[in-house]
Amino acid sequence: MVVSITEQKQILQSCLSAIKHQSNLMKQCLNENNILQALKHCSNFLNELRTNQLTPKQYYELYIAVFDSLETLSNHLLNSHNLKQHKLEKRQAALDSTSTSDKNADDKSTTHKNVKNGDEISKNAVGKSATTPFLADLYELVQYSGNIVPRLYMMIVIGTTYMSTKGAPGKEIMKDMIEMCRGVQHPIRGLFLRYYLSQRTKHLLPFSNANDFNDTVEFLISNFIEMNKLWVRLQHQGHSSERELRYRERKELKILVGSNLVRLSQVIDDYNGDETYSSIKYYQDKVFPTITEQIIQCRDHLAQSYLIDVLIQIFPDDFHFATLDSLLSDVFLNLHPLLKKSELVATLIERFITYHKFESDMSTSEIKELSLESDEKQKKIKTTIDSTQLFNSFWKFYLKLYELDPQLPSEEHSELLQSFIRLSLTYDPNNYQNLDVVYKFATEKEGQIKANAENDDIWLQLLIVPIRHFDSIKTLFKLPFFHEFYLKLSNKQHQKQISLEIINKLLGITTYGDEDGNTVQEIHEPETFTTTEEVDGIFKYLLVLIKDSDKQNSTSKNLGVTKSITINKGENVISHEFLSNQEKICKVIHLIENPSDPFKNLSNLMYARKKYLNKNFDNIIYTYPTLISRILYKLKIVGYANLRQQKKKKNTEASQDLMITSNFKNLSIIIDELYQYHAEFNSELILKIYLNAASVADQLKQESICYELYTQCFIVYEENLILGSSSYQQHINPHDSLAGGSLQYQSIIHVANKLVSARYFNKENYENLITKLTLYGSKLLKKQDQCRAVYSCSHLWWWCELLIEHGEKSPTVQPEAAKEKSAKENIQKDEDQSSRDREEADDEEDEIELYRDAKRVLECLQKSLRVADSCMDPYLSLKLFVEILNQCLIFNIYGNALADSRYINGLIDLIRTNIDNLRDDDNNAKTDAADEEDDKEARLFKQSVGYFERTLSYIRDQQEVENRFEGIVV
Amino acid sequence: MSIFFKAPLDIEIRLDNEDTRKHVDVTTPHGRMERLPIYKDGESVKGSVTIRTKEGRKVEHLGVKVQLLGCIETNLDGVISSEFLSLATELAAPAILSHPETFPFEFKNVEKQYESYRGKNARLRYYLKVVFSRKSSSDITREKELWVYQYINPPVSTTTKDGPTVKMDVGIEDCLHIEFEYSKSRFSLKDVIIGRIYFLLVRLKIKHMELSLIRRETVGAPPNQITDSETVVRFEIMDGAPVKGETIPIRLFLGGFDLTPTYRDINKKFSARTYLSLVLIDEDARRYFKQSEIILYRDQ
Repeated sequence: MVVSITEQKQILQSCLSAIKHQSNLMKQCLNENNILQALKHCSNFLNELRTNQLTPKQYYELYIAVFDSLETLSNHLLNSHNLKQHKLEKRQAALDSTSTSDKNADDKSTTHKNVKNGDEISKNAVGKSATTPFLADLYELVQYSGNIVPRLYMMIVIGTTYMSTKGAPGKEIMKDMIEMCRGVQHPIRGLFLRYYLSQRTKHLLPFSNANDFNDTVEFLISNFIEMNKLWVRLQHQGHSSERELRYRERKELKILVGSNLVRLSQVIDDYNGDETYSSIKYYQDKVFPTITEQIIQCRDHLAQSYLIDVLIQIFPDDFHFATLDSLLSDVFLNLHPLLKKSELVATLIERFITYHKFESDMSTSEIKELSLESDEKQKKIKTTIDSTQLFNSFWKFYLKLYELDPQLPSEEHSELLQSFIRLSLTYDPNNYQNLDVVYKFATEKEGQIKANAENDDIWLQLLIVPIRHFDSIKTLFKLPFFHEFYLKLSNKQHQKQISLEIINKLLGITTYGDEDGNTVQEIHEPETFTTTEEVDGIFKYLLVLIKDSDKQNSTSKNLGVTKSITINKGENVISHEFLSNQEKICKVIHLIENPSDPFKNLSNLMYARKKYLNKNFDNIIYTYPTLISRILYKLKIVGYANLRQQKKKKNTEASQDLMITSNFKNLSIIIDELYQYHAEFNSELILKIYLNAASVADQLKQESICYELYTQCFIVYEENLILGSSSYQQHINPHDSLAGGSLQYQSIIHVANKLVSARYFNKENYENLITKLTLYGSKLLKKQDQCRAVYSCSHLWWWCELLIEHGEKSPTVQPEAAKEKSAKENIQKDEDQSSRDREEADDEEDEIELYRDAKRVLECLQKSLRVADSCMDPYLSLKLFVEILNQCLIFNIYGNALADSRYINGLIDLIRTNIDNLRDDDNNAKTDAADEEDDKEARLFKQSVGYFERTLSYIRDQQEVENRFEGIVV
Repeated sequence: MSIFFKAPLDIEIRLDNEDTRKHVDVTTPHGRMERLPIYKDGESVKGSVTIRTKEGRKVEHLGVKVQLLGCIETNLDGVISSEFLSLATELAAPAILSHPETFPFEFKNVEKQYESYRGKNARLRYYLKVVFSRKSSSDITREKELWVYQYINPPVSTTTKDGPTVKMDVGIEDCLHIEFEYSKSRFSLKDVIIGRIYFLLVRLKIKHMELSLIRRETVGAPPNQITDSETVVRFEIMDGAPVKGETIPIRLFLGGFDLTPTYRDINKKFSARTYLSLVLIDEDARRYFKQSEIILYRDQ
């Protein structure tokens, strides 16, 4: 019988209008008090419910319409019953009063209570004969109805009305109705009929005493069982091609079946039980086994999943705790093999977790005024929930499940295990054994099932869950199998994801999306790692990131998906993500921290490098600088402590010194390693690193090491920087002294900057270094670079600052001074030698010894003047002259006798001449067409002149205020 | 005819307490309703006959008598009537009747063996007949039908008298196998049929199941016997297809239906039996049924 949708709609409409019509007729009859006729109309509209051409939804519409009409009938019957009752009562009362008039004639008007008593008496005495038959007769009368569906509906409506009156044999009617309902075996009609029964009896179920309660529960359970049967049967109705349709229909109807369980739980909830037999026990003994047996036996996928879900959701948690074992091992294991147990277990566990949260909330905000009773209750609950027991139950279940069905799909395994983890974490956050058990199993499991990449997706979550949960990432170290399992993941991408998760957790970054979809980061105080084990623990997870190289980038770059960063002069392209990952690793390096034992800390850092960081040489460029600066920082601390100790005790602790030395050696190995692999593009960086290390070494008075390091700097310079093209740099304006210049020039300036503050070289070494540097400077390619490098280097021969502790003497000066003294006797050297002696004498007076070599300074200045002069561009050379003038002024202020007023005056004159010449040229040129080129030159000229004039005005100022620059003619 | 041969007098039969006596509505063969007074077995039939002459004429007669007759009329090849009860009382000796006269009569404690019955081909009737005999022309008669109920006292012990519970095991091979059970096989007319049906095997697509009561009237002796069946009650007891193991309850109140007690070979003339028939209707509207006789009786 195929009915099209439009036809169905028509049928529905006609049914509805018929119901409306008949129910109106019924109401009319009721108003006329013609009950028999009314029942006939009632039966007529109930006949519409016999249709089997409608979908469940449409049938439900009919049901609703019918339901409303039946309510009016029921109300009317109840009213008329009460009316009759009332009349009868009156008569009875009249009778009573006449018979007992001598006793209390005013009985009627005394109290309401009396009337009530009378009411009960009348029910017992007279009711049997006169009142109850009214509804009882109707109950029988409607049973003549030839069709079963209307008959049963009428039976129910009258039966329940009857039940609601006092003194009715409620339980008998109840039993009768549910028994007769068996007559409807059609799934949809039967379901609705029984649903109607349960709706109507909702408030009438007796449970005043244990016996009644038993009957009520039986009633509900049997109704549930029958409904479930019908519901399951619906699946097998009709043609097999309509299977899907049936499935959908059944889903729509599931609430009808579930409502029974809901009612059951309400009833049990309302029932307090007696002292000896609690409701939990009742549930455990009676309700639970029957219901679950039914659920198991129906062998229906939908029914089982839905009903177990309902079961879990509606009954109180303590009930579940009580029946957990049997629920898991007897029920879950016996369910439909294709049913996803994981979902059910997850729901159950979710429920427990919520319960746990609720409980803990309760206990924290518990008010003292709670009655003793509830306190006891809570105690009882708490004792029933033993967390290990709980976990064990689940675990046992899981093992059994696995035993029974080794073919269980991985999704299931993963889901289950995840749930277990959540459970364990909630109930017993400090019990790592459970977690370890889970991971151990997962590891073995994974080994058995051939893992493919798709599966990994599933397992991924398993690992991420605890990471997100733990307060401290160190907890992971206590789970040996976590790592094993982690290693089993065949997909590197997933490993990476987990590692990142760990890192984020570690760095205290919790990332979550806010409403706008942006990610908001919350930063917490991160924790540090003090022991090798901890370093091991964390870095083994980072290894994948360390090894990672950003190779798969190319395709996405071609598609323009990811923004990329070009490094190494465009040789490589990397993504932002990769860079930020590397950055995160660096941040982790910072977390290797042991404030109490810096040596240990140093060795940890070294260990981390040796074991982990050097796994991918391409990436060390990102991580080593951090590592090196950390090591340097630590070394500095150690070294200073060592120096202070030395000072106090006046004797050196060889072992400490030795350790520092060896650490420096190791450090230079590290830097060297970096240099080996990244010399091509990153020499500048490496140079800086060397310089840093060197300056630290110098401060720690590790002269030989420091010398070595500077030598390394020069090697780097010679090998790479000297030839390093500056093609990637923009054109540098040669007139701008602060704009930098070429890479080489900058390198020299860097080295010079460090060297000028080095204080612990002996003289020979120091001079070696600075001479070499100056030579490099003088060999630079461009004139302006040469000039500037040389005049900058000149400062290396003329220390201006002490930079060391008062009272200490720089080794650069000391031995020299000693040598001087011996030499003084023999040969009076040239002028500058004597002048230096004089200065040194001055210094000694002040107890300040600075390395100064005026002659060299002058040589440098002369050299730079020569270079400046040889510039082809007159404007540039003018500029350089003025710059040199400024340097001279500095030396003059710091007491260099050779840069005296005579020299400076000469320089000023030279500049003036140059300016005049240029001005003439300019004037001559101005007669010509003033084109842009000239404009530019004029501007440069103006700048230089301005600079010069500012310098002169400075000299004047100084002359007036500070009484300096004597003899300089401005 | 009645104009010319109009009876010269009216005869009226009145029964004592006729107004207060219980009556029963029965349908005449012509389909009209008729109200008849009810008598019990062994009850005296008492009343009076009033005879009025018309227009004050004098009518001579050879005597007036009243008869109580019980007969069975069967419709086999024309109506054949056979009397099984015949009582008569002389009301008046031959005389001339000139003014209305009333004669009381009484049949004391008449045994009425059978219950009245009105079927399609058979009738069992009781009636009073007043015969006004005349010399010259034919007798003037007047009849009044009575309705007799035969009450059978409820049996003392149900098991022996009502018969054991009826259990039956029927089926179609590999298709259907059901077992049904009625609490008893003898029912009073106000009784309730209670029973249940177990489905042991269901391979049919059953649409619904009905219980019907069939009255079967058999007239005559075997060679030329007429049987007429009439479904008195049709009662749906199940909707939809059950599955194996289902039990369907049966409860049928008999009181509200127009049933007759079981007549078994009344005077070798006719029988009227009632059968309880269980009918299963499948989705293709095929009917499968099983009948079993039930004994009905009337009790107080």
